[in-house]
Amino acid sequence: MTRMEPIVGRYTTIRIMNNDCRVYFEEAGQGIPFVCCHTAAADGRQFRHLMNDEDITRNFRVLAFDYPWHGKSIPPVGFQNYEYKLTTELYVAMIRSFCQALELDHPVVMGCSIGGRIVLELAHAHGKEFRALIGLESADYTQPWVEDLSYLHRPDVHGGEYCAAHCSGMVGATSPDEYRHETLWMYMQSGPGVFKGDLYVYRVQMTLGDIDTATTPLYMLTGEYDYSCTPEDTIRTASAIPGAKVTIMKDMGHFPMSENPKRFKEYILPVLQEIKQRRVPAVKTQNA
Amino acid sequence: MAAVTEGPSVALEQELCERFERSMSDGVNSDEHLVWRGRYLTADIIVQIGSVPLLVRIVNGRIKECRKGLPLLCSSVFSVKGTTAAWSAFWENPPKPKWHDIFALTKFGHMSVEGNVQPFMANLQYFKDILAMPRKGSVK
Repeated sequence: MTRMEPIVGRYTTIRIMNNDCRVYFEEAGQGIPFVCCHTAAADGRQFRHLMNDEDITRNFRVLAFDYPWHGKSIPPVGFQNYEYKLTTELYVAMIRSFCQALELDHPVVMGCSIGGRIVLELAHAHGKEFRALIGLESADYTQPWVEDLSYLHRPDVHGGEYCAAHCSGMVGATSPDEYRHETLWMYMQSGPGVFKGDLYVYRVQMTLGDIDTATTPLYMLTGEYDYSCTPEDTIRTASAIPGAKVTIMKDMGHFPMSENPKRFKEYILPVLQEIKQRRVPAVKTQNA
Repeated sequence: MAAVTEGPSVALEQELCERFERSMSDGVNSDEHLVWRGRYLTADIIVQIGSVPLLVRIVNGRIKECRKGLPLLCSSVFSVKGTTAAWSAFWENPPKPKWHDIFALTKFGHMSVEGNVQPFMANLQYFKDILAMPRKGSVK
């Protein structure tokens, strides 16, 4: 019989901002819950390498859910009647609702790109709910590299092909070809307008509120080839957050976990080991 | 907007132009899959390397012509302009961060894309690939 991967996928329906959303998620491992939030226009497959790595799953229950509108999760009923826009409020609700629905006790949340942005909001507004937060390609604001986002969703440009090409240069120049194209393949598969809708949250200049890194550690890791969220963007953001820990990842681009999993492991494993050694604060989680 | 007139070295500019011309005629057209990906594209575009404009005529994804200098009253759909430093860094193998992609170069002011960019966006990976073709090292 063929070898099975340890990843298990399931569906559940969770309530997100007064909408019932059928959500798909995958998980592997046991121990500290570790929720991974994918980039815009992608899905939880970006984290398959973490879920297949025993050095991580030995101590962490790695979970990755497809946001509504993404991957195998479906949009809420009536989605066809309005333009999708991922707001900060909706994004926070998605993550907190997922964590509460699965009764995760003080999970670690790691998000990449837009996910890296939203962990800053989680750190500010709901930090005590989490054991630690990790922002990949994370900053409070990034300068756009294409100002006209209409090309992400218009009838005279193929959405899937454009979405992949739009971010193909953000993969590190020396990342393995196999994983470069796998990462881009996922970008070809989002629904019409989903990438554009996701970037709504990315174009908003976020106001960094108080972030208590003593209670909830915040790690920020950014690839040197990322010209969307540049290393300078991350360093600037972190300089306003006392205690935030920054790592600039050599050779890496905007999608570290999927574009170069072997190199990424060298960066993320020490972070997870540090998190594992911390005691969990005893704070009750509030409803999303 | 990229400063297209600066030119530390005429020799470098000349070398980059020749490298690009050879890549278009030999590199693109001998890559059947790349030509196939551009099969719905027919357009005349301008690529400017430093102070030198090159006219690139594309028919159904195949390079029909690539020549230095522009004919009088020449029309084109769009242009991609960059400094010699930008093209030189872009074609390094591997390129350095922030110099490795057309969008990175335009974001940081080393290149510009002007004109009707719809065909550029509709065939974005094709254009990224042909513009990066001189990097491969297969065409010296």
